[in-house]
Amino acid sequence: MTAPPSSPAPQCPVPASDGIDGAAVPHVVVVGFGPVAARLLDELHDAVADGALRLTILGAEPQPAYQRIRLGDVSVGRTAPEDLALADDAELVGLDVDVRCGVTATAVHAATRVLTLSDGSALHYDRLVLATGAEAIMPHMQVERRRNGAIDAELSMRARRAAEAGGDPGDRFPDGVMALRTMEDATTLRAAVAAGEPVVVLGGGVLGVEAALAVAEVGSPVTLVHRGTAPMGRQVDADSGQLLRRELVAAGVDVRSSTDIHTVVSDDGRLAAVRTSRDEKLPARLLVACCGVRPRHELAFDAGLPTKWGVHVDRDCRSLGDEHVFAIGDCASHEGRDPSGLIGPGWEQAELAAGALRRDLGMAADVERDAAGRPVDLTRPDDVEEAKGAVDDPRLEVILMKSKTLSVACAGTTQVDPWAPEAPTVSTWSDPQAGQYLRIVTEGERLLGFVSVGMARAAAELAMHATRGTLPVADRTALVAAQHATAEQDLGDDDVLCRCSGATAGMVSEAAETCSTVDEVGAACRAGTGCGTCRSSIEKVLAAAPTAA
Amino acid sequence: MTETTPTTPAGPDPGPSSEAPQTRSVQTHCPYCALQCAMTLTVTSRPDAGDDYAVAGAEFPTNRGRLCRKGATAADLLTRGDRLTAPLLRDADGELRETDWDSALAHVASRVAALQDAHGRDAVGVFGSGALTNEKAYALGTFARTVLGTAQIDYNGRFCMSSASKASTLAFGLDRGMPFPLTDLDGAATILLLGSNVADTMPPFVQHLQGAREKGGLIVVDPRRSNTAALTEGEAGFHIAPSPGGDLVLLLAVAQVILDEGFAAEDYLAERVDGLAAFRRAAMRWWPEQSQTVTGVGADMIRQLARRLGHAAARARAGGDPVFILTGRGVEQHRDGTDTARAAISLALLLGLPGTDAGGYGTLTGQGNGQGGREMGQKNDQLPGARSILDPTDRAHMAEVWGVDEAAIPGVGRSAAQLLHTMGTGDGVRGLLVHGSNVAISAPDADRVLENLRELDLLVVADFFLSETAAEADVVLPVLQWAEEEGTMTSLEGRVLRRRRAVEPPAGPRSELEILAELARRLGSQVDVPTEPAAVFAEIGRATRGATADYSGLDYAALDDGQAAYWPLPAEPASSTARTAASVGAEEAGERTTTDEPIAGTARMFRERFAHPDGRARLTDIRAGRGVAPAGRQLVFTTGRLMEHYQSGAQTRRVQELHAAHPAPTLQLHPAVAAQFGLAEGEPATVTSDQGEMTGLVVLDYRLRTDTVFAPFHFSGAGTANRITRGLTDPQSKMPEFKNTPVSIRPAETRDPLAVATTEEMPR
Repeated sequence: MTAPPSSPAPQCPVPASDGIDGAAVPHVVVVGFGPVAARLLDELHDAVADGALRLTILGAEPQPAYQRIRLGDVSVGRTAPEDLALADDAELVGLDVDVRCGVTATAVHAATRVLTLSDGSALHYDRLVLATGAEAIMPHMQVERRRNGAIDAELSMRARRAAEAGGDPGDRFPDGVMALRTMEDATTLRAAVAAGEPVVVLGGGVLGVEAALAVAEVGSPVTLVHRGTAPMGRQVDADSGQLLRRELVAAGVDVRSSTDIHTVVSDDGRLAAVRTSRDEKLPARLLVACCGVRPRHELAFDAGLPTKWGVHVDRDCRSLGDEHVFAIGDCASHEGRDPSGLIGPGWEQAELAAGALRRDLGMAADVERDAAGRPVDLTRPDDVEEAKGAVDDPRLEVILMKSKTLSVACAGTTQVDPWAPEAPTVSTWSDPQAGQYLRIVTEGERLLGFVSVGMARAAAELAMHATRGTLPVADRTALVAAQHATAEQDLGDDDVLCRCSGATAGMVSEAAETCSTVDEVGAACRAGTGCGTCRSSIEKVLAAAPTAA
Repeated sequence: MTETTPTTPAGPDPGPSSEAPQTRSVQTHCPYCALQCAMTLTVTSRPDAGDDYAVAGAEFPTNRGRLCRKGATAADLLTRGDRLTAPLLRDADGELRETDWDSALAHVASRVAALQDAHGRDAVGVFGSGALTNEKAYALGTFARTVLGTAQIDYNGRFCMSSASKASTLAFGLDRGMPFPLTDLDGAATILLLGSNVADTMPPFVQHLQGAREKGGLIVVDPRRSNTAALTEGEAGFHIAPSPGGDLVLLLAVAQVILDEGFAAEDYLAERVDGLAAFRRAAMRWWPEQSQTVTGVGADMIRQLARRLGHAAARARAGGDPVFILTGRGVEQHRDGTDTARAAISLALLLGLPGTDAGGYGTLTGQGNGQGGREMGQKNDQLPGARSILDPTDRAHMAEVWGVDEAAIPGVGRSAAQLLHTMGTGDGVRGLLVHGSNVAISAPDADRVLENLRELDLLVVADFFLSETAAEADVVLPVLQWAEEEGTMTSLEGRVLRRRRAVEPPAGPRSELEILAELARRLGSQVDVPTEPAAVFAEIGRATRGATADYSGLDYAALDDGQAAYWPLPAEPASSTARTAASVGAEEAGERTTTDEPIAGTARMFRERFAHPDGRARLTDIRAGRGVAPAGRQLVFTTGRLMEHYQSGAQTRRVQELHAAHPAPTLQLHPAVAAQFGLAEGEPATVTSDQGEMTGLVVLDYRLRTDTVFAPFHFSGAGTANRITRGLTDPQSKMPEFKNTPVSIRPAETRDPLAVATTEEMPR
């Protein structure tokens, strides 16, 4: 068991029932209301609806769970915040789920199974699930304070003296230095993007690249500053990194590789610019730091539960130190692995924890039965299940960059020298002019890794194989051919139909609704007014349009 | 439509004999699929020789005079030398030997009575079919519920339509496969065809895709580059090939993009649909990139599909050409088939299509009477008219029609796969009556089904050929086939059609209606089981009056008069309540079909309201479970159909031309996969799953996915594809998962292709 809580347990306002052994309805408290907690809620929905358990959820943010991974779309105005909702207030109320948004837990008193909250209240739990997620790591940067453009000597001096005295320099970052982690962050970024203000993204991981690309895709100025020689350098091999860099530049991202930011410049308390390790000063209204996250495991740590870069939990997501406590998602170190930051493993952990909770609470497990009535377990073949987390687990966690213009996917390791004597099998397809790169690394029966840039179909195939732990077909040219075989001449509405004018198929379709001739379409959107090669295509669009003559 | 074109007097009678051959022709419909192509069956009688039969396509909205290869050779079924002409009884030596009707029926009646006396009513089960006429399906359900008093009745439509049926009922409040006339597809701008290979399964249907193809709007989703998927070539549309089992996530991801990019029909949703917020959450879990890990479909394709649908639907709602979303067995025959069909419906609702001129959703019913078959009371949980067997009002209505005590009507029985996988074992049924179904081939885990069939104390099979199932029977009852009987069929568009007797059946076979009535008499039942099809149909009208599938306003005379009757067609439209579906349809006064028949009933449903009591359609949260996925070097095994064969092949394998065209079981693979596993084209390979193995000849197709192996399920013996599939069913519909089984593959032990090819004797 765990060490006793550091402070005496407060008086608990809830009768300390033991719903597991006693007659009362067991009480499960979930700390954190992000996408992984929402998945847990989905899994426990029926048990809650049946009245088999009572659920309380604490969310630090003002709103219930939303699809955090898609905050980028909110931040460039492509999606409304409410459209990312993963939980429905009314439904939760209907289920008698006690949802407390804007409330955090301050301490776990494991011995008494009491949780104290930031509003001063306390809750007794029968089972506690920590789903507190992760917080952004802010890099170390100097702050250069200016007022009306000039160095603010007074503020700077005060900070220096405070530092020399060993006290708090009050050296807080100015407004405009932020992470991209919460809905508030996203709406802040959305305002800057909408105003066309310069945005600097720091960090070349997938989150930084996604954020920078999203801003560029809506046509707002953005600079990506990162330390490595190419973006996503930790995930992908050098060649694909170079291609990715070029594609980002082509998409309108100002990419500064092998560069760091050492100073943020504020003016009147607001970010105005950043200074880079190359002694450049880049104007910046917002600096979005995508420099990694750290698990929020303090509650467990303070309660004396085993933690080290995440709450240590077993396969069921149960704490190694307290059978009443679970941890899932980015705050959890599941079976000894660091949190991945990916949603797939988080969802899986939510399912595992829900299963363990149902067993703890004496609820019938969801046993699937075949038509003859025998129980079947089809989640994974046993050998694979046991291998999960072990060295020979064939499954890989896949990084899938979200972008409407550029396809990038990778998993495992691709930074291998194919010429080394002990090298695994490496298959590479590279066509930089076409923006395509594909590398697949296998060894024996295992897929070790892959990276795909600009080859969406191959990326999808390999992402599926990596997720399943299956081996792609031995003749890799079949994967490249799949790209070709399914590449359509058909134009999506965002595809350019007329290269001379840049008019898209969608624009032509829209024009066609009110036009009856190719020339009228040309007058409306300029399509077909250049070389004229696309006029036959426009005729087809006109023929298909409802109001065509 | 006229009934006959007599050059001699109408009817099956061959007419007065004379030196010259006499010909006469009868208008009827094809024996096979739900398209129910109209055909003219011409009988040429020669005094000194037997009759010759020939079929030709007739003008009709669904087939427009065309027939596929199956339909065009259907007349061969009428002259097969291996037609069953006498009842067969298994003798003491274990051999099936011909016997007389009295002995056969006496044996059945006494064994049924003995089993029920010893083990209870539910010891005897009934297995029906979507191939039976409405009259036979109704009679079979009546027989099971009243004469046998058993709850254990289900039918092979469980393997076909159950997922889409359940999904439609949940979303719309009722289930009519296509809630609009098939010919509405002709004008479509865009048709999304999900998991349906109509180019092979119902080729004349392809005519109705032509309009969309000409507009570049045919979108086919299929793991294979099927012949239907190939119709998208040449700028006719595009093809998306998800991994088997990825359909639900694919549809949710498409919905996510539709919602995200503002394509949803907000006004329509607000006015006519509930549950948008819940469905939005379902979609929100699967953005395009994330969905790739399940579907194998590129995020770019998902967006292209969503935008294409979104733009097309927006144009359709503004008065442009309509958009249709259609599903088939490819997406429905999964453990999440109901959810997948529901996701397809949800997509249609998001786009504002169902019940409007902008298009709609439909499922392409497969079996000839797959629609009627599922609403006539053969389902384990339904009474005629798609009434619920649990609803007191429905039970009371049927009790009155049948003249029985309501309490005597049994409750919900086992669904098809459960029935077959438990029979002969434990508390499963000990006796089974099979009508119009070849479960030894068509049910999942065929080895187990065969084993269980052999464990039964009594197996009675009614068929016209000695199917693989009949060969296992204790008693085989020879019955009439399509052109020998009168009845009605309800086609994939919910239109009730007349099947007409065109030829004189051979001496020996009997009508199933007569057989059931005789068994009822011998079992001492007081329930009146009519034997005349027209009388049964009249009873169907009384039984379905006021029900969802209301046939009460229909009779043979009107149908024979050329009426194009779509259910619901209540006898008293004015008295229909909100519960009846009549008020969800709007008859368009004076409208005629494309072949100029007057339309009656409800051709287009949901025009004013959906069939839920509040008139609104339902969206809901849909959770994609963790599907079964292959591991290591496994492939995904998926089953389907060929152009040349129909269902279990019991009929088409007996037609020489069809047999010759595709005589042997096959395994379709990508060449790179074949190379990897040492397989060569034309040579036999063996696939193995947890359940069993099958052997087929390798066919290479470089446009098939590299994780998939496809096998047609029409074959018997070592080539029975369902020896691979498992008894895993959708929890909502009890549809077995035919389309997604992890397998390994290797060269067959025998390298002799002929050992596989000659699975069928073909006596004339």
